[in-house]
Amino acid sequence: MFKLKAPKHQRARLREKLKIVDSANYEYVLTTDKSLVEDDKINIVFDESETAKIVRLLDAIVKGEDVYITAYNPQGQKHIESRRIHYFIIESDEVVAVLNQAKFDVKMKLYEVEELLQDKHYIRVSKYALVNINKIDYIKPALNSKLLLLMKNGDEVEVNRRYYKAFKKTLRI
Amino acid sequence: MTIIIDILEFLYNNFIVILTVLSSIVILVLFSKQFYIEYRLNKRLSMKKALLRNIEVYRQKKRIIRRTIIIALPSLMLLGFLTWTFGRTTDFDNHIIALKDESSLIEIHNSFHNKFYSMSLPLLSETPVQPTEIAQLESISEYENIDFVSENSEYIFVLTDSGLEIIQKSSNNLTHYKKLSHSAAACDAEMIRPEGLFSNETHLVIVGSKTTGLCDNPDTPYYLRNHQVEIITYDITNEFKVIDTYTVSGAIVQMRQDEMKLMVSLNTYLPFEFGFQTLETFLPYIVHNGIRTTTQFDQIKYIEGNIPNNFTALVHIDIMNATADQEVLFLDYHHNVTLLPDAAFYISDSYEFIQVSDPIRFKDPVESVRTTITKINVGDDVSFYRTQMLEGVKVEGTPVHVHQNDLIILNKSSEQTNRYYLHTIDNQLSTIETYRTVIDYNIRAVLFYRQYMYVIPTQPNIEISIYNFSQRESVFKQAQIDHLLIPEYVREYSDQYIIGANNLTNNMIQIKLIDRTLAFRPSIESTRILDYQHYDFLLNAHKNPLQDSYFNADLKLVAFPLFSAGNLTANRNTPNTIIFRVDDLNWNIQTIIHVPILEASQSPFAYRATIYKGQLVHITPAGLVLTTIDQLDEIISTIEFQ
Repeated sequence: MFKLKAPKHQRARLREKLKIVDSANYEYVLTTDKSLVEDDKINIVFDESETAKIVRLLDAIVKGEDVYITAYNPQGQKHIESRRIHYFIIESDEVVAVLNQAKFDVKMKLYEVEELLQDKHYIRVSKYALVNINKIDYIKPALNSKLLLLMKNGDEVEVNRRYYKAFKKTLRI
Repeated sequence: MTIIIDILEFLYNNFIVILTVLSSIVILVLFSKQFYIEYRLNKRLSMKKALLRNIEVYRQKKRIIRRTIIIALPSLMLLGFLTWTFGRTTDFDNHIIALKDESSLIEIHNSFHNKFYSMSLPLLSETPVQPTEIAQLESISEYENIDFVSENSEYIFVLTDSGLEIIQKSSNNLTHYKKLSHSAAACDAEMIRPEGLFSNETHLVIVGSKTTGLCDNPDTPYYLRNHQVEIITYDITNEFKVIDTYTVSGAIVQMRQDEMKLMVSLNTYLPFEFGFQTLETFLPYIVHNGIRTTTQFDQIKYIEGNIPNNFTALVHIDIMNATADQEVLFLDYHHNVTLLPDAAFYISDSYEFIQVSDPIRFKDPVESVRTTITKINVGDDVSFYRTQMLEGVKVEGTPVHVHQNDLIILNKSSEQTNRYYLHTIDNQLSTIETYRTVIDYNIRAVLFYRQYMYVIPTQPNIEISIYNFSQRESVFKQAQIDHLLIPEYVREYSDQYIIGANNLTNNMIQIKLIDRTLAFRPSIESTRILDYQHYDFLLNAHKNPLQDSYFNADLKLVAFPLFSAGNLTANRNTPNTIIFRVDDLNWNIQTIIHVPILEASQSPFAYRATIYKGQLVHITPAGLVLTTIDQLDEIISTIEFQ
């Protein structure tokens, strides 16, 4: 998403402050030197003293406006920020949104949820589950070409063999 | 090709071990791959999260450590298993197995014994390979630089059964200075047997062997006797006071001395067939001035495939610095040993067996027999260096011949009776060249001289073959010479000449002077017949008539004591030593003198001679005779020992 272009003596320090990782397919160029801008990219030229502001800006770019999911539980209806949801899973033909400690029914099809959250770092791992990358704690490969995702709330979600390659591709930077 | 066969053989003989190792490796590879995938995926996950600006400290470290342990533990276990199986006991490169304790020695013996006698059906031959015995003509003196007579500038020392006779060199004559008797024994059977002595200007060393435990049980079999060797150092400058005493266990096989450093190879037979309480009593030891050092089981090395029946100890004693050290091998009793100033070489046979688990078990259990050569380095200490395997089986009595920096060893095929191998090995026992030759006659003796090997047949109508091994890669048969050109017994007379002797019938020997300038084409310069009966001696055809002869090429003197190979039939005061002058290569002047001799039953029955102030000194264990050199029959004086 981002690429930091700065003089050598500044680069490591800026990367630390901005908390960014360079990606191969980047859209944004962050630089402290005007001469390093790239014409076909979005360039953000800044002074090192403004780093804190840039951090907030980058957070806004990446996270953008959060999408709210309308969900239900016996206490009633609730709008939940998508970043708080660990994963969606189909249980008894119903899509359930799993949070840290709670579960909510979602009155949508799983593919509809997937479409809604397609820019929000969710990834389809099986016919029945959609997982928030940010909530994966650890990936544990099994001997049968499957993966087991240990979620931050302690749940385990399986990556189906059919989605294995796509999952690995998504993790590429 | 040999390596591939060795590998296949090893796989066949160690199927379970190989299976275990291979399965462990497969499991290890699978787990390692799994671990790698896991590591990479989680690394990507954390990068991805960083890209998504979800920066936090992960709890992955703990998991990684746990996984590492899971992978590392079996790896360590596998490594431990391999080390335990191969590392501690067997050194395949050196073909040795280090003993651990008494039980490991018994295990080796039982395992060998069970394999050797594993057949349920009668064997065609009881022992699969019989070693061939070939006489060596090269060396006459039993031990290198150790003899029954020694001298320095002041004394002549003569070692006899009863003790040491010391003759002082006074102004123009020799006088009996004193006698040092051997230490008393509990009975005659345990008396010390003199083996030899050597000296320099300050130190005199006497080597003797003895056997204990015979007084009560005089009929104890040889193998069950307790053999020891005593080495005593005397101070020549201080009234021959004892400086050091060494007692080493075992029976002497070979010894040599160089610059007052003594090397002794000893055997201690382990009488498994007679049974014993404990093997600990057989462990080789050195007692130096009353302090005993015993070599322990874990310091002993077993040469792979040898018949496990004997401890062979190589003892090295530095007389001047009063230090002693030894290296012990668990080796076949029937080995050949060659001692050099800085190393010892042991030649023995190594047996390889077919699988004991062979369900049919009708075959000869011995798969193959090979010759092992083991080198022990001798320097400041004595230490095992390496064992190497050679194709073929040992030829009894054949020593290692040293040519430049190479070792030459003759052995023969275990399968074809007429095929002999001449191996050329470098001193480090690393590079071997083998020359194979077919010899379809019985060999009586093999003689090595310079770069030549003389193969002397038993039948007199077959010519002697001379092989040239100067080029280790291309040994070839250089010449064939008449059988008569190399007599039965030979000794060096000078750089150019050797003297040989053949036993004839009717109590006679034929003596020959042979020019060896062209080693592959020796020529006889002159011959002489010696009739023992003429001098009232009966010739013993099995003894070497040159055994005690004295040659002095500078003075052109050759002295033959007739009692070396003859038994006196008349008065013991009759002349018994014949002296020739080899003028113009002819045996011209003959003088017969009498030197004091012992009764025939006594030993050692030796004769030596030396030059002292223009006089020829004839030395025997019974006394000395001085003659002038010009008039050899002119006896100046005689000293008879009491």
